[in-house]
Parts: sequence; C-alpha cells; structure tokens
Amino acid sequence: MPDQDTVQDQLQPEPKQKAEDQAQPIEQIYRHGKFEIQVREIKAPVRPRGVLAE
Amino acid sequence: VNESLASHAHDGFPSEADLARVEQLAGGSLQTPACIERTLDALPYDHDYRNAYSVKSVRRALHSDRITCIDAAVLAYGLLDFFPETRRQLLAIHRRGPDGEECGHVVALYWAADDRVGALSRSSFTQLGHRRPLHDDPHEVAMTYAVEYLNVGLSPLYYGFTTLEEVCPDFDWRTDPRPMNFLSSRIQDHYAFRFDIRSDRS
Repeated sequence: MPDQDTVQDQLQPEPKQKAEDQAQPIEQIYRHGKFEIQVREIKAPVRPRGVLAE
Repeated sequence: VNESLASHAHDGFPSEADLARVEQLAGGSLQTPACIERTLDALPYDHDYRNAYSVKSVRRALHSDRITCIDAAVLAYGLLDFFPETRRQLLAIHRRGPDGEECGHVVALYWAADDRVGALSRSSFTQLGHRRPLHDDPHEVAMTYAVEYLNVGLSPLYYGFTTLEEVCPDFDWRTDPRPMNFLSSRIQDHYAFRFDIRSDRS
C-alpha cells in the first residue's frame, strides 16, 4: 500500500483553478494512476446509505 | 498552555479532568494544532460500531477507551478550541464498496498560520489518518482521502464541509453525555460535491 506522501505526490490537478474562479462549480480533473477523478458540485441533495464511522 | 486552555473554556470544557486526560493521551501539553494527532492516536479505533453506534461529545470521546472516526472528528474539533485563532471545519466523505455497502469518513480540518490546510483523523484504515497542513485548500485534502479509497478498491462518492456550530446548534457537543447519533445524517446533509471516477484500463 503506498504511503501518504507517495499518494499525494501522484496527485496532479489539472488545471489548477484560478482564484477568481473559486466561486464557480468545481470541475477539476485529477489523475491518480489509472484513475481520472473529476469533482462536480452536487445540484440536488443526496442521501447515501450508511453512517459516518470509518 | 493549560492556563491558556482554561481561559478559552466553553460550557465548562475543558475541566481539570479534561486537561489531565488530554495530557495523558498526548504525552504532554498541546503546543500546536498538529499535537492533537497524538491525542487521537492514543485512543483505539472502535471496530464494534455496527453493533453499538454511539456518537460521542468531545468530553465523552476524550474519556472513552475506543472511538470511531466521527468521535475523533468531534474530539479534534473541540480540542481546536485550545487554538482560538485557528480556523476549523469538518470534512465528510462517503464511499461505496464492491459489495454495495456504503459508509463515510469524517475528519476535522484546520488551517495553519500560512493558510495551508491539514486534517485530524482516526480511522480503521491507516491510510485515512491525519493530513499534515500542507494543502492549498480543503478540496485537495478531500482528494487525498478519495485516492486512498481507490487504492483499496472502494469508490469515493461524495464529500462536503460543515461545522459543529452549524449541524449541532441544539446540543452541547462539547460536554453532553448522551449519544449524538443524529450528527451522522446532519453532517451528510452537507455533501456538496461528487466524484466521477473513470479508469483508463476499464
């Protein structure tokens, strides 16, 4: 299992949001190994199953 | 430091017994927010949460012999009272396993003097532990937890930010001896972002 530093070194946000864009919905793409991770603002409430316990 | 802590007491917290317990767990006084890591690390994780889920106040978690992630987040958030100039929030992140089980993790975020963000965390996964205050913003911290979920075969789903003042205005989250299980769903109500994951080998 990679350690925290290794994983964080692999995070490559692209592109980095400009300060003036901070109020806009987030649509960054991160690459981690074989994964492409995109973050989007939720438009409607979600109700996932399970509790906060992990 | 103890005199400083006592001068920032909220609702009777910290008491002398609270301060003694913090020092016992941390192996000394808390000099910086990052020192709270030692307090959390000294408390074993409660693997029995599925049978006895009971979210604890700061005081109850502090004097407990086992805690879950949400207990740790509440405890760390409360111990950040000791550093009144330090900005703090909660970060919650949800995931789904290959068996369909969903569960969430929550941590206490704090902003260092240089405005970098760190996290205080206790988890059954060592990879979901603390994050040093090296991150540009809280979204970057959330991403570090998301990639660790991916590394162990779990799918990160949602994340969001809130404060205990926002989700718990009607309960004394610092000292109440009663279970505060409602906090789990109230914090989840603040999920505001979702992860779209694609694999280039799928």
